[in-house]
This record gives sequence, C-alpha cells and structure tokens, in this order.
Amino acid sequence: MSFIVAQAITGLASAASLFLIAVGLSIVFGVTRVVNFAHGSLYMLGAYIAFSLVSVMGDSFLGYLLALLIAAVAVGLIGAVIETALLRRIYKAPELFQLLATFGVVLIVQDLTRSVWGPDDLFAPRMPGLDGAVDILGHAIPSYDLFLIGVSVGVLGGLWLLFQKTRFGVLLRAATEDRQMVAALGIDQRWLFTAAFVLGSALAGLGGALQLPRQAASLSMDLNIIVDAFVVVVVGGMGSIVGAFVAAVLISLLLAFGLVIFPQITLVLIFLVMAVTLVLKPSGLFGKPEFATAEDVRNPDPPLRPSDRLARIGWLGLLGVGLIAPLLFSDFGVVILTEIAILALFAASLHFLIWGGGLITFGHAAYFGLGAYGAGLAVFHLSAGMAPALLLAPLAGALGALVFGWFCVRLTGIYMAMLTLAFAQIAWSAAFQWIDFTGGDNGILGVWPSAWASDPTTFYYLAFVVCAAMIWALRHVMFAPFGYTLRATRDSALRAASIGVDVTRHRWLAFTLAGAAAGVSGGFFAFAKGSVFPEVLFVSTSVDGLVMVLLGGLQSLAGPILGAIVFTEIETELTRLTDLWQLALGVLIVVLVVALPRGLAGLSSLFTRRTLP
Amino acid sequence: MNVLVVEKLAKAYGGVRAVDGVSFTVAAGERVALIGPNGAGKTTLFNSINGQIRPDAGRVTVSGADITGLPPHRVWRHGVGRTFQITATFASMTVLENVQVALSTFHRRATGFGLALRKRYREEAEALIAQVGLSDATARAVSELAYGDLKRLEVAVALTNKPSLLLMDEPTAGMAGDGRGAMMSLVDSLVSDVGVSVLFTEHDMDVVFGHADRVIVLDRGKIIAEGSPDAVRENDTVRAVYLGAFDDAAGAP
Amino acid sequence: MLRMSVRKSIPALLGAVFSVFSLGTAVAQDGPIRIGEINSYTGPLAAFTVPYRNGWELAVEQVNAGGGVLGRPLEVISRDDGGKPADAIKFAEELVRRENVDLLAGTFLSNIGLAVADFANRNKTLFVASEPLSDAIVWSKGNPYTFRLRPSTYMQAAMLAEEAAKLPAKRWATVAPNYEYGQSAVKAFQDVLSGLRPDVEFVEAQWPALFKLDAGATVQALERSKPDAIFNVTFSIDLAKFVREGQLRGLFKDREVASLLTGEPEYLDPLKAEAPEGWIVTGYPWQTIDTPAHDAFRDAYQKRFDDYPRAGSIVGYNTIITIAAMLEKAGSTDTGSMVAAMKDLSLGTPFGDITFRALDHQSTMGAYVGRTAKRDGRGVMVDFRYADGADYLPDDETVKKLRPDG
Repeated sequence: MSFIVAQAITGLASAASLFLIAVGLSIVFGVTRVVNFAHGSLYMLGAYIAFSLVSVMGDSFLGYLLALLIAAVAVGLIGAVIETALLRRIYKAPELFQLLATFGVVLIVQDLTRSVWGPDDLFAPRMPGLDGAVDILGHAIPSYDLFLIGVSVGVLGGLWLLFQKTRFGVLLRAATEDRQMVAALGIDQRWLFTAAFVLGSALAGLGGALQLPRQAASLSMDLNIIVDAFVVVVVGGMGSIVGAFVAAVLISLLLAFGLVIFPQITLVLIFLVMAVTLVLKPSGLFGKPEFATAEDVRNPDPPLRPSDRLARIGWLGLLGVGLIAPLLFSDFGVVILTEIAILALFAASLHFLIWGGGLITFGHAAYFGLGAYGAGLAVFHLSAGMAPALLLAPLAGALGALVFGWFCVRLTGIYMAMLTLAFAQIAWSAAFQWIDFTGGDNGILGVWPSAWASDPTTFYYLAFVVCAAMIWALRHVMFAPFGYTLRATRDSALRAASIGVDVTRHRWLAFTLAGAAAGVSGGFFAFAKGSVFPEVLFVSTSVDGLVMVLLGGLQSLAGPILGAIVFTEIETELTRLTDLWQLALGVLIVVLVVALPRGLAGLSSLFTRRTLP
Repeated sequence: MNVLVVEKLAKAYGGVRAVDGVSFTVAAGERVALIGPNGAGKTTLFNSINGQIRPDAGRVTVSGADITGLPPHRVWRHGVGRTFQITATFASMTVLENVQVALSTFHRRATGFGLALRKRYREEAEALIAQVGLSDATARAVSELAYGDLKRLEVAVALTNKPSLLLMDEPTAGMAGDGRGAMMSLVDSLVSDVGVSVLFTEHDMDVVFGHADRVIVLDRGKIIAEGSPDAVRENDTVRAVYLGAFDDAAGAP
Repeated sequence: MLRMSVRKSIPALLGAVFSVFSLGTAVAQDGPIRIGEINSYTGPLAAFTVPYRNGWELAVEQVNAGGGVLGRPLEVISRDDGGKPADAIKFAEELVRRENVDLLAGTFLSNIGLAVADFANRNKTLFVASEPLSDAIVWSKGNPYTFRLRPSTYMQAAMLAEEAAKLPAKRWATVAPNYEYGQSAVKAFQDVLSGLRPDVEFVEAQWPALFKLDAGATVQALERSKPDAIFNVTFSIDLAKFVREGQLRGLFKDREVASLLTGEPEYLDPLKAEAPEGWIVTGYPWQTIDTPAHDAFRDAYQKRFDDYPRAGSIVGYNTIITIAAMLEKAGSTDTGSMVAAMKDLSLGTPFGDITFRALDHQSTMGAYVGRTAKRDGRGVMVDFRYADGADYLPDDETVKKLRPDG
C-alpha cells in the first residue's frame, strides 16, 4: 500500500514536468493552430539558460528560483523572435509546412545550443532548501518532487485565472474557440498570436528550467520530450489546458505503475494510450472536434494535365540520364544514384498521399521501415534470397498501412498527422526493443544483394528500373479514376460522398497503396545498405521524406524525384563539409517553407507566363 | 407514385429537437419547396435524408427502398442527387473532369487503375454538361468559373447517377436576379425533360412561389403548413412566422 | 551540327552537375597511407567522440613527426555519420570507393560498428572498430576483416562480476537501458556472477527506455525489491537522473552498486559533486595512473589540447598506434597482408601491452576497475587496478562456438 502511495506521488511529479511542457504547446496550438515541433527545443533552452544562471546565482533558494524564472522569461523572448521572424509568415500555409518549418527550428536550435554550451551534459546542483527528501509512509520522497507538484498546480490555477478573469485570457480563449469572433472584435490578431506564442514558450522554458534540479541539461532533451508532449496534448485535446493536465497525470501514473508490471514496454505504452484515445475520441479527452477547415477554393491546384511534349521530353530525359548515369560516374556516384532512386520512390509514395489525397502523414517512415524489415527479416529468419525478400517488402508495407491506415483515415488534419506519427513510433519502439525478433538496436546484418546483383551497377539498374516503374505506376494511378476520385475526396469530401464515393474506404485504399510503394523502396534500401536498423522507422526518416517532397514541390508530380536528388546531394555534401550541418539543413528547411512554398518545381513558374497567385 | 416518403423523422441535438416528427412525400416529377425561418430545421432535415446525419427516429424511403441512416455514398446509389447551399465541387479539376469523376463512381469504376479518366465517359459527361448549359466551359478549370456556373456544374454532377430525386439546398443562393431565373428554368426543364423530382429549400419567395408545385413550411422542427403555393401564401400561421415577408417578396433575411 | 554538339555536351554537363560524385582520388603508392574514419561527431554523442578525435589526431601527429610508417605519412579522412547507421554505410562506400582509403576505422555506437563491420566484410576491407562495445562485433557477427580495440561489454561486465562475487550480497537487482547493449551487459553479468557464486539470485530487473529513464519511479521499483546490491548499466543523462534520485531516496544506503563504465571521465565528470561514492566501476582514472607510458600520453595530450584525456581519447590514440604497428608488421597496405598482420599483433599502449587475438580479433586492451570516491568536489576512482582484458574473455572453446565464421 505504502508503495502504491509513494509510486503515485512519484508519478505525479513526472506529471508535473509533463504538464508544464505540454500546456504551452496546447495553448500555442489552440490560438495559432500551429503544431510547434520546436517546443521541445524551447524546453531544452530553458534548461541550458537556467544552468548558466544557476551557476552564477544559484547558491540560495531564492537565487536559484529567480534563475529558473529568468530562464523562463528569456525563453519567452526567444519565442517572440521565432514567432515574429518565422511563424508569422506561415500561419496561412498548410499544416505540413508549419510542422516542417518548426522542425527546421529544432535543427537550428540543436546546433546553436551545442555551439554555445558544448556537447557535454550539464548537471546543475540541487535546489538549496529542496535538496533533501521527506519521509512518506516509510518511503523517501524528494522534497523537490513535492515542490514540482505544487508548481504545476499553481501554474494550472494561474492559467485558469488568466483565461477566466483577464481580458487577455478571454481573447485567447475566443481565439481558440472561434477565430472569426476575434477578427470581429477588431483585435490585432498578430499581437494576440505573438503573445500566445510568448506565453507558450515561457511555459516551455519554465518546464525545462524546472527539470534542472532533477536531470542534466543535455542535447537530447528536445526530441526526447517533444513526442511525449505531443502525446499528452493530443490525448488531452489540443488547445485544452485542463486536458493537458489530466492527460499528463493519466500518462505519468500509467508509466509509473506500468514499469513495475511491464518494465520492458514503457516506450510502446505511451503511444498505445494515444492511439486508443484517438480511436475512441478523435479530438482527445477534452478537445472540441476540429471542424473541417473550409475547403480551400481560393488557391487550388491547377488541373492535372497529361504531359505535353516538353514535359514528356523532360521525363524521357530523366529516364535516359538514369540509364546512362552509371557509365559516367564513379562507383560511389552509382551508390548515391541508387540511394536517390530508392528515396525518390519513397518520396513519391508520400507525395501520392499528401498531394493526391490531402492525407497528412507524419509517420510515413513506418511503411518504408516495414518494407525494409520485411526484407531484412525474411533474409534473417527465413534465409530468403533477395528476390523473395524484395517481394515481401511491399506486402509488409501494405499490411502495415492496411492496419494503421484503418485507424488513421478516420481522422483528419493534424489529428491524423499525430496518429500516423504515433503508429510509426510504435513500430520503431517494437523494432528497437523486441530484440529476439528484430535484433533490436543492433539491427539485421548481411542483407546484401544476391550474387548476380552484387555489383553496384547491376544493383543500381535493378533498383532504378523497379523504382522508376513504381513511380510511373503511381503517376498513372493519379490519372486513372482511382487517383481522380482520391483527389476528389481531398478537394471536397462532402461532394465526393454525395457522388457515391466511400471516402473513408477510398482513403484507406490509397494509404495501403502508398504503403506498398514505400515498402518496395524500404526493401531496396535494406539491400543497398546491407542492413536494417530501427532508425528506418524513426521520425527523422519521415521528416526526410517530407523535406524531399516539399523541396521538390508539392504541386508537381516530378517534385518528389527532384526533391530526392537535391536532398541526397545536399545531405551528403553538407555532412562532409561541416559539423554544423544540422544548422545548415534547418536554415534550408525554414527558407524553403517561407520563400519557396512551391518547391523547386515551382521555380519553373517564374519562367512561364502564368503567374501563380 | 411517391419518389420520396419521409415518415416521422426526428433528430435532436442535446435537448433541442431540430427535426421533430416530420412526415411528407414527394411525388414523381414534383417540385416541392421546403421553407421556414432560419433554424427551422431545413438543413438538418435535408442532411437526414441524404445521410450526412443519422436521424434519431423515423423512416426515409426513396422509390420504395428504405434508406434511413445510410451514409451519403449509399444514399446516392438509390438515385438521390444533391447540391449544396455553398457549392461543393472539385476545385483542382476541370468542369469535364468533375462530371467524369462522378460518372466513374456511377459506373463503379472509382477504384479503377487502368485507363486514364480523361478517356472515359467523355460523351456522357459532355451531354450532361450541355444539359446544364456549360458546354463552353467544358475544358475550363473549376477555379476559374463564375459562381452561377459552379451551381450549374453541381447540377450536372448531381445528375450523373440518373437520379429520381434531386435535393437542392438553396439552388439560387448567392446569385444575382438573372442568374436565379436561369437556374430555376434549368430546374424546370430537368423536371419536364428527365422527369426527376426536386425537393429544394429556398429563401427567395419569388423562386418558391414561381417554381414549386407544392410548399412545405417548417418551423422549430415541425411542419406548420403544407399545400399549393397559393394556399401557403394565404395561411395565417405562416404569415405570422414570416412577419409579412411575403409581401416584400424579396426574400427572407 | 547542333545535334552533335548537344549530344556531346550532355555528358559533360551531367559530369559537371554531379562532379562531386564522379571525382575519384588516384591511388598514389608514395603518398600518404589513407585511413577512412567514421564516427558520430554531431548530435548528443559529440561529448564522447570529440575527446576520441583529439586522441587519434595526437597519435597521427606523433606518428608523422616520427617519419610516418613505411616511409609514408598517415592521413585520416574522417566522416560524421550523425548517429545513423545508413549514413555510416554511405560514407563507408564513399571512403572506400571514392577516397580509395586503405582501411576503415572508428565508430562509437554498436549498431554503426556492426553495420560498418558487415560492409567491410563484404568489400574485403580491413576495419579496425575502435569504440563499439557490442560482443557481436567479434563473436556472433564476427568476420575475417574486422578487429575490435576497446574491451567489450562482456569483458567489462565480467570485470565487475568478479568484484561482485567477492561481496557478501546475495540478492541483486539490475537496471539497464532497454536495448541491445543493456540487455547484453545484464546477461553477461548474470552469467559470470552466477558461475562464480551459485547462491546469488536476481530479484528485480528494470529496463527503462534509453535516455528516457523515469528516475523516481524506477528507483522506487528497485527499492521495493529490497536487494542487497544493484548492477547498473545506465549511462549519460539516465545515469545522472538515477544517481540523484537514488541518493535522495536512499536507494544506495547500505547497498553495494556495481556500475558499468561509470568510472570513465565521460560519465563520472558531469555528476560533479554528486558523483556516487563507493561504487564498483570500470573506468579510466586518468589523474592517478602512474606508469611511464601513460604519463607520456597524458602530458602530450594536455599539452596539445589544454584539456585532460577521457576514455575516448585513449581509444582514439590506441586506434592509430595500432594501425601504425600493424602497417609496420605488414610491410604493405595490401588488405591480405594487413589482415594477417592484425592477427596476434602486439603493441605497447598507454595502458600497457595489448594483443589482437587471432582467435576472435578482440584486443586484450583492458580497463581499470576500482571504487568511486570524491576528491575536491568531483568523482574519481580509487583503489583501482588494471584489469587486463585477456583475463576476462571466455575460454577458447566457448569463443569458437560464439564465433561461427571463424
């Protein structure tokens, strides 16, 4: 019994940390509708800044406390810079661009933090006055944990007062619940958005700073916390403060007791909670259903035209280059070309969903990775040859998409993006921790091509021909009734349903098809690298795919190919040239989203008569 | 013979009975107007018929088939076409493609992977487009159309399943005077040429009294009057609800 | 005419666009000996790999100042894999195919080490795996072209198990990150300790997700099982959280703790004044090792970088002097000769003499085993001894069974 109480208190202390980070994210989302990936980075900055301040003034309780508060304010100011310099320019952009831009900020902050504070973990002293433990039913509970619980309840209360009793709070609430109303009130929305973002950032900074007496400031804090924070916000309901609190408590208690009963699956547990919540209550425990945003008729894509002569020459040229390239390039060039061909198919399958179906997925790595694991496991467990393993890859990808997709296509917009992410993370956790089956972190080795295809050039031709054929097939499907109907569900789900389209089922089929294509690409990736590791399933793989698609240009069927070529080159060269390549990549992403939302393919519009709006 | 039979249909939100035990019929080739003040339950009723909303109670049959509670895409299979108050079309496609997509569903080829859509159902689509008078705009992108033409396109799309019943939510909303007349002439011609029945809601009383064979008046979820346009126009209850709006004949707010 | 010139210019144009991919480096027999090196220099691992890089840079400078090897200087072409195995493979391809390196070296993470080892095997390129700990690199996934320098997970766990067996403790609890390294370490420790002390029982196992340790709850769960002693494998930020919570909650009071790698400065130093006292650890007491070889290394390192060496620095340094000694013995950069030379290669290092076993390609480089203590507000190792790696490997028959490919 006493153990249960002690464990519950410990769980509540974790809940306090989780709440502080999640609530800011929720407020920012509620007001600006931006899902801020960089929220974890602000949390990390809070911890680093607090560390620097604590080492100067942290000798007393008050000094330490002041240091934490100043850190929170400083992070709020950094938030103001991010909001005015970047987010303000992309509020009207599609959700995907916003997600990606904030991911760019993650990369930038990561490298800047390393440049300023160095790579070492920074361990601050405990908080004076709260550096001991209290005896509760025979268990020693750190007094700081109790303090943290108090702070979180205080913040909850403070936010409640702010939102209920002040004009600013009323405006924030109004903006969360009804955007038109704020506009009607004659409020300068820009000011309100900035203020909301600063508040959210300061809360993230406070959350990070308050971690300092518990854990070291480290460069892995950002991505470690952000996914958990997403889960809390989504489970609680995006935009809901109470929801964030309840979800944080629920998840922390579940983890605290879960690790006693199932010590091995804590990583999966949290995503299962999210998946179950979203399936049962798509808008989260306390969230309001997201009304489908008015279908965008202002700025639609131009109709899909079959290739004209020029475009056909372009496609044939690309094909020709692909076929003669190995004759021109060195061995390593061929290796890179192989990677480009494989990633182009991955990007094309993602593009098929995003552009073709308006299905925002943030977890496309799942199907790429399942394809890679399907092939790798076939080699590892069944001693399959390359050909059968490669045939298994699309089946694995499609099966994953069939199962995950069934849940995902029932949601829309950002909730769908989050659920796809959750499924990808579940797949990643399973691959990472289920060592007997997947080899875990050490991966599956020896997935090399069969003897007849072991020459890099031969393997390149194999990958090129199959991937090019798949890309062509996806393109063909876009022109076939299936693709048009899919695009119809994207343009107007309402209209599609009223002409007899089973929208959910159609999206599900599209999901499965894209999963199969991504699976093929993953299978080839496994043989190109000779190995499969859990990272193929990780969120960074999904992000790479999104960068390729957006870099190439969402509105062009050639975009993903262009994107894969340029992205692979940039990544390969950047990592060779500089240790700060994450910074460079982050800046590239941000510039891309702000200045070139139509991607490289959109550049061509500069040279044509028809100017795009 | 009745194309549409609605029996004791009810739908409540929280404690509010948006539609409260409504029964009526629409006969073959009949044009029935559904009117009532804002919040009377017209849209809820419409959406309950075409499946966007699942009614709490009651029954809807179309040409003898029970469609109560079916989702929209299955209601459509029973020969119900629908247009919306704010047009819903596929903005990234041409006029022709909009109709072709609908035809591909009708012919159960929506999941077809083979022949490109542009090579399918072309003549059938062009005929429908001609029927609504949009032939000149066949190849144009929907995003470039004037609002009145979008409304016409919606009608063409709604006709792809050879419907026995057209549900039109405010067919002339957002259109100027000339456009309204032209739109309703189109509806009249469809009824006489194709024999389709039309159930429509409308705020413009000129349109209602000029083009409906019968008028049903809804208020607070209940039918308060039903009959020929003239009979309804003279009905005291209706006059009370509409506060003399009929005299202006310019339409409700 | 125009058509002709277009046809001619297309390859030229493409060549220009993709020039970065088409340039190869000519193999020069009298130029430097080229070592392709891959490690995770960015991201959270930089704290470990930067001292390592300093180590190999120092060694390269020393070797080249002494006239190089076989009359040629050493040149290291280094790449950052960003912690991703797939990128490591890409750069391995690049180094071998474009940079024409004579051999590969490096890697920190076990999975990247394994991926590069597999690549080396397939391409018949020598790979000196410097830092990865996984036993699989030389045993279950061992291959003819891969040799590993650092003492493995098994060896270090065995060193601790030997000390643990001397303790009266019978009830042990374990805590380890839930991935291959953590699981292998716990298994090795349990196997060796159970072999030495059949009366020992393991009463609780906690498997926090890597870098996501829920410290309070984990400590609480360990405490509940009332163990006599604890075997810890967590490291880095997880370790810091574990130590702080464990101390606050009295988990370590009257309990012995055996902790893997915690004596390495990379892990001990960030804990500062809260470094645990009295833990039995493997590590690197750089301040107090008192041998001429190590003194020389430490002085040179501090002079060159104005910083003290970490465990990674030793590994980086030893990697290069291993390669230099191997080249001296092989007399050429032919892969066959180099692989042959690696077998039973012996050399002197700052840790003393080490040998690369022909049996399983594992070096006998050892680690220091001792207890932690606090001096001047920071953690140090005391009462330590050098545990020679040769003494902590299973017998030859067992190893042969573990290593299928010979």
